[in-house]
Amino acid sequence: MSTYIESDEVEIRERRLGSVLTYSGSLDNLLEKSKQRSLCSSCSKYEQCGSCGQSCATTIAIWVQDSVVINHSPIGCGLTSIQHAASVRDNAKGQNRSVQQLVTNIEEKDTIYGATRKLEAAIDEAVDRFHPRVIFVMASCVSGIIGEDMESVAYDKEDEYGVPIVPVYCEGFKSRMWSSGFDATYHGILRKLVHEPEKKQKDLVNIFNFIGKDRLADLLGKMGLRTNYVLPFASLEGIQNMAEAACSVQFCDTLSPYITTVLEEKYGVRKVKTAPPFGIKWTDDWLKEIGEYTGREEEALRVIEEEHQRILPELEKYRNILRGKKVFVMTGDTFAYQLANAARDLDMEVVGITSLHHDQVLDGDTGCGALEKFREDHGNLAQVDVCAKQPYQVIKRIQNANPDLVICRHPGIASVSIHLGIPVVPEGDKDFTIGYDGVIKLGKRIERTLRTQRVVKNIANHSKLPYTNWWLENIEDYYYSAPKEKDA
Amino acid sequence: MSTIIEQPRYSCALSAQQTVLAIPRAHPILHSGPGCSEQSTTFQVTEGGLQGEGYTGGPHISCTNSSQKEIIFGGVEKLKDTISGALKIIDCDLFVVLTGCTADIVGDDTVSVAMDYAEEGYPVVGVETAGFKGNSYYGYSEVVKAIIEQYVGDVTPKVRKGVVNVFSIVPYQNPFWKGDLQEIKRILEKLGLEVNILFGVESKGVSEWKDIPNAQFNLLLSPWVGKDIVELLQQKYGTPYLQLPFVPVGAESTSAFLRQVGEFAGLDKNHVENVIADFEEVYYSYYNTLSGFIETYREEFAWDYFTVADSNYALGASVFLTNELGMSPKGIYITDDAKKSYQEEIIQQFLKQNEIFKDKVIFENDGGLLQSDIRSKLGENREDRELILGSTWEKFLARETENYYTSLSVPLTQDYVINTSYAGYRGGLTLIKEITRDIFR
Repeated sequence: MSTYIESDEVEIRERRLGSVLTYSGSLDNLLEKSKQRSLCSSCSKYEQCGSCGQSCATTIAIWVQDSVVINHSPIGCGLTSIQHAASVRDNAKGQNRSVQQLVTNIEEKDTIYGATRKLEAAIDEAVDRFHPRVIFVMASCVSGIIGEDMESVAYDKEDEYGVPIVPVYCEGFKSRMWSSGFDATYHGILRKLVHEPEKKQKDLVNIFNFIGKDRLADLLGKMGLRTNYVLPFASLEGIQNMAEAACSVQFCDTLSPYITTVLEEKYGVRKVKTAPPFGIKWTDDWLKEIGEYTGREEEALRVIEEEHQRILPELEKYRNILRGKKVFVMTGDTFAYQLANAARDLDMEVVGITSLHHDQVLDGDTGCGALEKFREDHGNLAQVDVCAKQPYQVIKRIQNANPDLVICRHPGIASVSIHLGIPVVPEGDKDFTIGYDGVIKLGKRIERTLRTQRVVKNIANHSKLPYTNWWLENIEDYYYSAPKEKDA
Repeated sequence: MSTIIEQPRYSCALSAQQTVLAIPRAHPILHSGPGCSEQSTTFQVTEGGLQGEGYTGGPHISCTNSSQKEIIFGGVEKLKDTISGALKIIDCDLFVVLTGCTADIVGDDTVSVAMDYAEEGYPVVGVETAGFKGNSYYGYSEVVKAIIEQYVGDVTPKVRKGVVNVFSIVPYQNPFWKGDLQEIKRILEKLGLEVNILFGVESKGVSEWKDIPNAQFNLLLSPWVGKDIVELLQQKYGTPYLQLPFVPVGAESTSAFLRQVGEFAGLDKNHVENVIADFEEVYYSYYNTLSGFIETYREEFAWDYFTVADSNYALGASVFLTNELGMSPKGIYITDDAKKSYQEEIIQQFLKQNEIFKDKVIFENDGGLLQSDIRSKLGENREDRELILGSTWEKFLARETENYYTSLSVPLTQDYVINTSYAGYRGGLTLIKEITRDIFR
């Protein structure tokens, strides 16, 4: 059965991948249950705030060059553009971070009479203000519930202006897995933008990433390969021609397994199936597979050999500093295992992995990608968790694991760790840890974090967590009356 | 005014979760979709000059994370579970339930659920803040009024002379609210008043809110936001209010402010003048160092300026820059979507302060449109820099056009505000420091 279905919308992850938000137990059990697809997507009775698909969908679309993103929503849903435009960060160098975004600003009367006119006006305005080459229209909870016909508006306005308009069905309420928002944007571009390949470019590799920097171009360049970095900062042509590439790689198996699978099934663009290049051996395996798909097996071996030689002194240096230090990783699904693997390459001890959700199977796969590779390389872990942020639960997990350091990615989690007095390396969207240099960089960052942890201890000494003693002392209950019967 | 918005300068009503968080030991419980809270936090905290998530903010906020099930079958059960859980798990004194778009469209009776808890004796308040109902300013007012109606409640006031409740800038929506409220409290206390500042670290939290009915008077430092609050209090508890149209910046406005408050409160005139004289002595000892600055940098300084902010801060900062520093306004852009009826009042307030503001005040909540207006008014002469005060969007514009920039409004992604404040005597000096910084970049 093909992964891609001719439809306005792609199925949400709960249904497509059996994704879940809670789990606590061993890695072996998680993999076993996932194989049977027997984990149940239950939640705790009490929850703290999550994230939504619309923000994920917007994140990867907003930097497509010459694009406009229109959030078809009340004003509160279209607020992130300034953060994307801000360019003080290291990874912004050389990237065009200007953003073009409009919010239709759906108001109360529009929920009664419809907001279609506003959407049409916003598209007119987008064309008038920005002269875009592509427009993305992001659905919201409100536009979804009141039944806005984004599809017809997009087709009509496309005709009028000759600019492709991509409706993205990423309503926040639609899926509890905010990663479904990535799939929604990818589905939109597959429907509307990606062309049938006219020719094949044997030396071209699609790189699917969030918003960080293309840190893989140099490495792949050493094998004589060119990179097509998508979607952030990509040109419209880069997106349209992605089906011409020899293969696709991804920054993390949680982000883009949907589109990489569809590109393979539909257009023969090989999907690199080994886990993303986090850690030395994983990068070796990844290069070898790329070599296979691009007819560069020998170049791959040569590059691996050279890179090992190149990084060895620094690698040894950081291994000697960090050996035996205990690390706790908390990020989205497979990415947590990718980072944990990189930490293992620095001879650190992984004392806990918590992913924010868990896909029981990946698109176009029979297993769980990086999780299985981690199991193969490092054996079982007695305690891994799935937890959608939920600081009230996370504090207990971190305290139990008693790490020297936490590695995380999502907003808010770092601060939880800091309030516990545990230094934290926020991975963010900077892709620091990718490839051979990434392992070294991770070592350097961890060394510095541990060296400068006094500030973290000070914050912890002068702040209080907002939880009752009853909850904090109740060490048995992670979930607040977890539905235990469903775990079995 | 635009209905479609580029570069938003405010969030939706649900972002009043931050109003709740500004009250010490108060906790927001959201009956909303899963992303609403994080979006608000991102805009008003992270993008608001890294104001800090506070005691129970950011990821700690309780939420029903409503999804398809709650939309189709209703979310009241999930809401009850969430409130019950929060009451057991979160260590706070007041719990405010706020709704998002999903809950209000499908018609969950959230406020009734909250009131059921209140009837059982729990400190729970409910308020409808669907994003489509209004913006941050609307949400702020709704939340404050709900707390007054449902939590402070119908009590007989025991009025104490000299007690004042202060309502002014909207917490978090104004990035400098913490420092500003601290300064306002400090100078009012010097007058001898007992100040219920209500928000921020110097508020005593819920006990101060419970004390609201007992105040001698309410002080509203705002052109329109919060007017409904002080009117409610007048009607509910018979408390009179004094409205001043903006948060004072610098000595002239602040001293005038203290005189008005002194008179309204019936304080001894000599005492008030002595307090002002003390403040001004310190203030002008710093202010007067401007002579050396002007001697050295008169030609480099930007004497023409643009202001982009909500009506409160646009008034306060612009009046200071023009009346106390002699700078010329080229455009004042008011971004808070003030109703038509208030717009005329705001313009009158500007003109009352200085006729120079005539035709300079523009109401525009679309950042794209106000920026193109600024572009059209920027001088051609690149040697004379102009100053743009506003959000980080204006910083980009200022850098691109090689002009000067000062932080004044959200979003602020390139600032770490900590305790920065432009209010009062101290705030005026800080603003001088900020507007001169770019000369040395």
